[in-house]
Amino acid sequence: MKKGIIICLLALFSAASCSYASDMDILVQKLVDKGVLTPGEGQQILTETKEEIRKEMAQGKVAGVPQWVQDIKLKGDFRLRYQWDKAKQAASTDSQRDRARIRLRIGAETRVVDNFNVGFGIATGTTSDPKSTNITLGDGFAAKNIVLDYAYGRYTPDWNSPVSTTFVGGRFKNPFWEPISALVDGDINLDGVSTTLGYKVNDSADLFLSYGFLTVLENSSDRGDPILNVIQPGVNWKILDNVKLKSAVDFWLANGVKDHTAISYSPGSNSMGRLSDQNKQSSSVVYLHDYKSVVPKLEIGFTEPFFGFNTGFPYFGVFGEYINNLDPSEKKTGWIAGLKIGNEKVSGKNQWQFVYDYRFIEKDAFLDIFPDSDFYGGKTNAKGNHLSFNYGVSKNSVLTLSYFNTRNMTRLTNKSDSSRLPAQTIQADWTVKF
Amino acid sequence: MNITKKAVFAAAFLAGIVSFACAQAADKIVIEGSTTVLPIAQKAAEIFMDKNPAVDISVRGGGSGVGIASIIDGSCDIGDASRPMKDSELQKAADKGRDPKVHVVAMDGIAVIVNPSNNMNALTKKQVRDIFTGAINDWSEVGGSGGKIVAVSRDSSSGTYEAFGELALEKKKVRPDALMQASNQAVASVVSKTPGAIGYVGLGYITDSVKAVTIDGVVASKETVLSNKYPLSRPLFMYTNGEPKGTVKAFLDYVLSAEGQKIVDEEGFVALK
Repeated sequence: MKKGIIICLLALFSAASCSYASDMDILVQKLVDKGVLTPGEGQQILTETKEEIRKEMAQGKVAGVPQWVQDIKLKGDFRLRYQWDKAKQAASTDSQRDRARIRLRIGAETRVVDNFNVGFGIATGTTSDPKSTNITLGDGFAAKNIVLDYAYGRYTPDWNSPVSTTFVGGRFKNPFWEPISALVDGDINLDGVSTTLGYKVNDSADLFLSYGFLTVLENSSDRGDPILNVIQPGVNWKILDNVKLKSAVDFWLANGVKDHTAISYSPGSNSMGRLSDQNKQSSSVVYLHDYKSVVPKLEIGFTEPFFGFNTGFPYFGVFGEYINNLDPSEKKTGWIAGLKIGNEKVSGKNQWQFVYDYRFIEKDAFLDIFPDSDFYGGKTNAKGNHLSFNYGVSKNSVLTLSYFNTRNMTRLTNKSDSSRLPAQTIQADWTVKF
Repeated sequence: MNITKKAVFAAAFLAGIVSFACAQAADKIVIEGSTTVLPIAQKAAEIFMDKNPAVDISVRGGGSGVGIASIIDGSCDIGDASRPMKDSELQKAADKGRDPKVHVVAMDGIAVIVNPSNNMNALTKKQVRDIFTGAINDWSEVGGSGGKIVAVSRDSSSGTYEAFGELALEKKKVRPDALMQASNQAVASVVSKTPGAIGYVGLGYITDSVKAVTIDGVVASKETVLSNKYPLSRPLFMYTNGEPKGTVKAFLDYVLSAEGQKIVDEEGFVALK
C-alpha cells in the first residue's frame, strides 16, 4: 500500500515535466534514507517509474502526430572526393585528370500501414549515369543537379512463420549480397521487384534467398525488351565463436540481351557485332551473346583472437567470387579475390580497415552495365588491383584512400585504341553519414 | 427435448468448453528473453509449479531483444530483459497497441576480485577493461607492485561473462590467455590461490579469501548496487503486456516475494529485499 501510494505520487510528480527526473531521484533517496523504503524498493520504484514515463512519452507522441509522420526515418551521407585519373593514350602519351567531386544522398522511409513501408531517396548526379551520383566541382559555379535515386514500396508480411519475407517493388537498393561492390557497382539501384526470404536455422546459422525480376530496358516499340531474373541463395554461418562464413551463389539470368542494341549507358565492353540472325537483315550493332552468369561467392571472417593470438587486428577476412557466363563459348569467366584487415566495418573513431582485391573479368563474363565504375571505367575485359584504406576520424565520419591499377586484358594490337591501355585512379574521400 | 432446450443445452455446453479452455489457457505461462534473467526465471518457475501443479510455465532464453519482441508481438506472457526497452521498441509497442509494463525483479552486480596479497585496492572501469582485454599485462601498469597479471574469467556460456562484457568491457572479448572457469566459486578459488590473479564474480561470492577492489572509487556492495552507484551494476526486468493478471500476476508476486528474492540471491544476483 505504502509502495502504491508512493508510485502514484511519483507518477503525478513526474508527469508535470520530465526535467524533474533528478528531483525524483533525490526524493526516493530521501525516502530510502529515512527508512520509508528499502534500497531495493527505492531502486524498483525509481526504475519502474522512469520506464513508465518513457512509455507514456512514446504513447503521447503517437497520439499527437499522424503515424506515418512519426515513423519517418531520415538518413543520408555526404562525400567529398579528390580523384586523380591517369590513362595511357595512343602514341604512348598519358592523359591525366585531377578533379574534386561531391556526392550527397538523402533518403527517407516511413511505415504507411502495418507491414507496408514506402521509401525514397534523392541524390546528386545525373540521369545519364546509373553507376555514379558524383558531381564534379567546377563548371563556373553552376548549381548541381539532384535526381531521384530510388523510390520503393516494401511489404513485410507478418505470417507468424519461421521464414521472414520481404517484398520490394519500384527502384530499390541492390538486395544481392557481394563481399565488396566489385561486380555490381555500389551506386547502382535496381528497377523492378524483389523478394528476400530469411530462415534462422539455429543460433549460428541462417539461410537467405533473394530473387529479383529486373527491368533492364523498356521500349514501347520493342516487345523483346531485355529483362533480368536474379536469384541468390546463401548462408550466414558462425562456424566458431570467432570464425564466420557468408556464402551465396548468384544466378544473373538475362533475357533479350542477345541481338539487342547496346543498353543505355553501357561502357561498350561486351562483345558486339552485326545481328547474329542474318535473316533479320539489320545493320544494327547488337550484343552477340546472352548473359546468364553464375556467380558463387564467399567471405570467411576471423575475429580476435586468431587461434589464440591477439594480433591487434579485430577482423581478418578473405573473400572471393567466380563468374561464369553460360551462354558464350569463350571470354566468359572472371574472378575476384581479396582480403580485409582491421575492423569489420568502419563507423567509429579510430576504427580502420584495409582492403585489397584482384579482379579479372573477361569480356563476356558479366553484363557490362554493372561492374564497379571506378575499376577501368566499369568495363569488363579488365583486370587489375584495388587497394583501399578506411579510417574513422569520428563516429560516422570516415577518410578513405583508394588506388586502382587496371588494364584491359586483351593483347594490345592497335596502339590507337586507347581503351586497351592501362589506367590508374587514386581517390581520397571524406564521407560523413547521418 | 424441444429445439429451444436443445439450443440452450448446446450453448451451455459450448460455453462450458470455452470456459474450460480459457481456464486451461490462463494456467499456462510463456516466459522468454534474457539469458541473464533465465536462471532466476527457471528456478522460480520450477518452485512455483511445484506449489501450483495446475500451472505450466515454459521458460526460454533467446536474449533481451527476443523477450521484448515477444511482448510486442504478444507471443509470450513475460518478457525477460537485462536492459530497458529502447525508444524504438516503445514506439513499436505503442503502434501495435501494446502496453508493456516493466517489473524490476533483481539487480545484477559484479565484483572485481584480486588475491588478498595484492596491494591493489582500487581500479578504474577503464583499467578493468584494459586488464581483461589484454591491453594491460603487468600490475605495475596500474600502480601495483609489479608482476604478471593473471586474468580469471567465467566461461563464455555464462550470464556473468555476458554481463561483465557489457558492463565492463564495452562488449569487447576477454583476453585469450584468461583462465576460463565454469562457476563463480571456481573463479574465486583460482584468484584466492594465485597471487597475480584478478577475476570477477557475483557479489555473493566475495569472501575473506579474496579481496574486492573498488571501481571508480565505489565499493561493490548490495547497497551501492541498489543505489546505482556501483558502475558494474544494472537492473533486471520482466515485462508484461499491461498490468499482470491471474497466474502471471501470481508468478510475478512470487518472484518479488521474500522467497522469490531468495532465489535471486542464490543465483548470484542482488535481491531487492
